[in-house]
Amino acid sequence: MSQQGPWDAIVVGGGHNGLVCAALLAKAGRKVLVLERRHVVGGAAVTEEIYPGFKYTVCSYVVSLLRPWIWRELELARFGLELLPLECSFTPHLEGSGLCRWPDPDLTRQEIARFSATDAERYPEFGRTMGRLARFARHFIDAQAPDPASIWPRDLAQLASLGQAALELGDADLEIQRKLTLMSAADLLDEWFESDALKAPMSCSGIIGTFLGVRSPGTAYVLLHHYMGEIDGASRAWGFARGGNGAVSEAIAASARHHGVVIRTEAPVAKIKMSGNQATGVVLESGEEITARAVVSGLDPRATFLRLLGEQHLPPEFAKRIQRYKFRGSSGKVNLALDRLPDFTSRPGIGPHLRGDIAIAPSIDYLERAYDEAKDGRFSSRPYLNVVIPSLLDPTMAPEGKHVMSIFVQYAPYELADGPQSWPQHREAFGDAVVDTLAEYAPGLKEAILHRQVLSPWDLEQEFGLTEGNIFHGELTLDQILFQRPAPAAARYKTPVRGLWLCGSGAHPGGGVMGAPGGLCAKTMLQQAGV
Amino acid sequence: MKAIVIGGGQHGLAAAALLAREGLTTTVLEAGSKPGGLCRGREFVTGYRHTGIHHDSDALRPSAIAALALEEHGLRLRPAPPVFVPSPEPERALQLVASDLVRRQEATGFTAWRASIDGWRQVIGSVLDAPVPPLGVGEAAWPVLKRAVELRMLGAERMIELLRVGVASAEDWLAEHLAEPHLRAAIALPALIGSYMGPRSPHSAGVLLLREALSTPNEVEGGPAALIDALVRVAEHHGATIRLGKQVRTLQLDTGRIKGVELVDGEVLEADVVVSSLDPRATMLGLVPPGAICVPEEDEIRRVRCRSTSAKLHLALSRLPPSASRPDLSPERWRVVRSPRHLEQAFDDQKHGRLPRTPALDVRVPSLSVPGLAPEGHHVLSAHVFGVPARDADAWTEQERQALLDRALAELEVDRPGLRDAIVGHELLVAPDLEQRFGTTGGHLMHGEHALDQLWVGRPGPTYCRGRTPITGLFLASGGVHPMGGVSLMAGLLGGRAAAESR
Repeated sequence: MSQQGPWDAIVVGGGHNGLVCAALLAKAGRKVLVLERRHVVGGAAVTEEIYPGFKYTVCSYVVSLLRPWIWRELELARFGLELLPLECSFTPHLEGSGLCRWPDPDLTRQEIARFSATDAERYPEFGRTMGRLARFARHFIDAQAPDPASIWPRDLAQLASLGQAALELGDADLEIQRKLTLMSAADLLDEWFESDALKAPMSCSGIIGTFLGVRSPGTAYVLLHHYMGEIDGASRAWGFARGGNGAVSEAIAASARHHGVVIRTEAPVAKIKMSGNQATGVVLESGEEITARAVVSGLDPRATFLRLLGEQHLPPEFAKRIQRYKFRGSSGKVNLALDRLPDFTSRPGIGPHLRGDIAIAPSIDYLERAYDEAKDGRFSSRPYLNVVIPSLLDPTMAPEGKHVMSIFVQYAPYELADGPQSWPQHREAFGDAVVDTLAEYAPGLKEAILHRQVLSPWDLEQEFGLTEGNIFHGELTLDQILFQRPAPAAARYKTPVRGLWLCGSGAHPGGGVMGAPGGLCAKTMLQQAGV
Repeated sequence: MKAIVIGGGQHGLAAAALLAREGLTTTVLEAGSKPGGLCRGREFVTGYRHTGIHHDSDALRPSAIAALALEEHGLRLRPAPPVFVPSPEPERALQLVASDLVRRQEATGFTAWRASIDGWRQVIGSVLDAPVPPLGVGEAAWPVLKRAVELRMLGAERMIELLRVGVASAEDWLAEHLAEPHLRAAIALPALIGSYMGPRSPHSAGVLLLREALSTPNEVEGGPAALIDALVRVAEHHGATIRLGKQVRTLQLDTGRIKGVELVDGEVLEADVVVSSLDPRATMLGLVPPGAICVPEEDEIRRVRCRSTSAKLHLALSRLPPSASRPDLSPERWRVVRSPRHLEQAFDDQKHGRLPRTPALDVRVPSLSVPGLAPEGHHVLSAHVFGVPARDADAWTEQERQALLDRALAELEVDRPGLRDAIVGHELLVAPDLEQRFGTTGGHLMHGEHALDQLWVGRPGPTYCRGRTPITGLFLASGGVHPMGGVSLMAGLLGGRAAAESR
C-alpha cells in the first residue's frame, strides 16, 4: 500500500492503544498513518537495551487484561506475542518465611493457614465471588461507557441491560458489588480476612498507579482487576510477554503493518491542524504538515487538548473539565541489571517463588505510611514495591547467568515539596530508597547490581510524554471513570472537536496494557463513519 | 398495643411521639437520669452547662418539625449564626457571610459553590426524607426509577456533575471554587467529624455535600437541649411515658417475635413493638440474644464501621477573651483550622494512633445566645476536636488526655490569647468516654461512620436500612440507619413510621 496520503486517519502516538486503534481501522480498509515521537513504538510498553546485553521492560512490565477480542482480531499470537504466566505472588517478610500465593489452591491454603486458618478457608470463596463480579465488570470494560444522561433509545437500552445484569447478580453479589464500588481496599478486605500478611499484598492492586492509599474510599473495585484476568484465561490476560512489554507493542505493530498501517517513528507532532471546528491533520515539529480525514490521539487528554490543540479550539466548559482532570503521578520505576539472583531471607535460595511477582507489602499500615509520606510531597522512604525478574521467565532478556529486575515503586509523587522539576536532584536518593528497601529483604542485592535505571514520574513525563508521570493517563478514581473519563463530552472517544478522537488510556475504560480504549475507539469510529 | 422505645434521645423521642400519636401505649426507657442522649444539655462543671454533645441543630429537617408539630410544643427557631474562621493573619480571618467573602475576593467562588448545592438540594432531600425503596424488578423497580427520573430532571449537566462531586474529595471540590486553603479547610471540617476521612479522601465531597444540602438557615433556639425539651413535651402530650434510669439488658423473644424487654434491674416489660434508638451494633449485637438472628444478618451488622476520629471538649470560662484577628466580632461558631494539609495530617496522625500535631476544632459558644448556661459574664465553650485516635480506654492515661487538651488549647489560643487562664473547669470526652456514657459503639457520634457505602441501602445494610429487622416487632430508629447521623430527627421518624405501619 502507498506510503503517501491521503490518509483516512492519523494516529498521534504509537503506544499500544494507538497501535491497536490503527490496526483495527486498517483492517477495516482505512488508510492509517501512525506518528511516534520516539525511535521505538510502544509508548510506555517498550523493551529497551539500556545497558549492553540487558533488556529492560522499561515502564509497564506485565500484561494486564489485554482484551481477548483484540488478541483475536489482530491475531497477536501469529505476530509473535506469547504470554508467560507469572507463577506466583510472593510477599517476603523481614521475619518468618513470608507469604506465597500459588496457582495451586491447596498450596496457597497451606501458606495462608500459617497466618490464619479462617483466612485460608475464606480465600477460595473470595476468589469465586470476585470471579463472578469480574464477569459482571466485563460488561463495562468491553463496551463504550454507559451514558446516564442520554435519552437515545440505544443508550437507554444499554443502561437497562446493565441494570438487568446487575439484578441477575442476585442480592448477595449485588451487595458485594456495591461495597466494592464504594469502599476502600483495606476496609473491604477487613470484612473478609483477619491476617495483615494476606490483606496487605491483596490490597495493593487497589492503589497501583493512583495517588490514593489502601484506606482511601474507592480503591476496592480495582481488586477485581486481578480476577478479571483469570476469567479471560490465565495464560491470556495476565502475565509476562516473552521479550518484555515491547514485544506486545511489536506484535500489535506487526499486525498493524500487515493490515497496511504506515508507522513513522521520530516524527513528533507539534500540533493538530484545525479548519473551523474540524481537525484536518497535524503539523510535525519539523514543520511538515500532514492532512487526514480524522485525527486520533493516543496521548493523554491534557497533552491532546491543551498542548496539541489549544484551549481556543475548545468549548469553555469542556476546557475547564480537561484542566481539572487529575493526573497526580504517584509511581516510579527502577530497573536493575543483576550479576546474580536476589536471595530473600524469607525463602533462601533460588526457587519458584522468584518466578512470579514479588511484593514488598508487609502490612496495611506499612502501605498507608508510604502513602502519607507522599501526601507531604516526599517519596516514600519505605515504599510499596512490585518486583518481577523477567530474565527468569525469558532468559533472552539478559546474558547467560545474569538477570534483569523490574521494580515498580509507589509512592513517588510527581509533585515533590520543592516542585516536580526538583526530581533530577532527588532521583538517585529515590533509587537508593528503593534498593535499600528491597535489600532489607534480600541482603546482598546491592552487591549484585551491575546497572541501575531510575525513572521518577518526572522522567516518565519527560521521556514518555505521560503528563505528571501518571501511568494511566489520569487518575482512575470514580469521578474520572466511565462517562466521566476524561469528560462527559469526550467519554465515547469522539470529542467536541469534529474529526478528533481519543484512543489512549485517558478514555474509557482506562489504563493498563489492555488495549481496550484503542480497540473501542476504532470500533466507534467505524460505526459512526468517523473515517 | 404496647410499644417500648429504647433510648430517650432525639430519635427515640421522635419515634415515641409518633407511636403514641398512633394510639400505641408507648413507654420510653432511658438509661440516663435525664432524656436527651447525645443532645442532652448537662452541667459538666458546677454552674456550667452545655447544650448537648451535638452542639449544632441547623440540620433539623423542616419536614420533621412539621410532622411532630414541634413548634406547637415550644420549639423556637432562630437564624443560625454565621461561622467565623479565625486566622493568625488578621486580614485572612473571616465569617462565612457574603460581605466578608467579598472582601477576601472569594465571594464569586463561594456563591457558585452554594448555588451548585442549592441546585441539588431538592433531589438529595427527597432521597433522604423517604425510606429506602425496595430494590427489585418489575413493579418493585418503580420507586428507584422514580428517583432516577428525578435525578435526570436536574438536566444532564447538573446530574453528571452531581455524580462527579459525590465521589470526589472535599479538597478537590472546594479547590475548584475557592482559592484560599484556610477557607477550604474550614468548610470541609464538619464533614470529617463523623466520617473516617481526611479532606483528600475520595468521597469526602459527597459527605460534605450531604451535610451542606441538609443544613438550613435556621437552628433551634437553645440548641439541641431545647429540641429535647420540645420532644419530651410532644411525646408526653400524645401519652407516651418516659422512664428514666432504666437500662435494657436484653430483648425477650418468642420464636423470632419480640415479646418484651428485660431491664438491668431485673424488671421485665412486655411489648408488641420495640423500637431501639441505640446504634445498630449496640442493638443487634448487644441486646438481641445470641443466636436469634442468622449469621449473615449478624455479619451485616458486625461490618458496620464505627471508628471515631474526634473527641468532645467542654470548657467553663470565667471570661471569653476576644478574637485577636477580629476583635470587633463576638461569633458563636468558629472553626479553628490551619490548612487542608494540616487537616489531612491530623487525620493521618489519628490513623496511626498518634495524637494530632494540630487538632482542628469545630467550636461553639452556646452561652452567647442561651441564657443561664454559666454565671453572669462567664461562658461555656463546646468543641469537636478532630484528629483524635480511636484507642482503648486504658490507653487514655491522664497524661495523654492532658497532652490532647494542651494541643487543643494551643490551637484555640492562637486567636484567643488568654483563653487558658480563663478556664474554670473542663471536660474532655474521648471515644471510650462517650461509649461508656452513651452506649454508642466506638463512642461514635453518628452511630456509624458517614461513608458512601454506609448510606442509603448501606446504612447499616440491606436487611436493616428500612428500620425493620429480622425479628418481627423489632425496629431501629437511630442515626446509624438511613438517612444518617446528626441532629435531624429523620432516622427517628422513619423508624417510628416503620414500626407504626407494621401493625
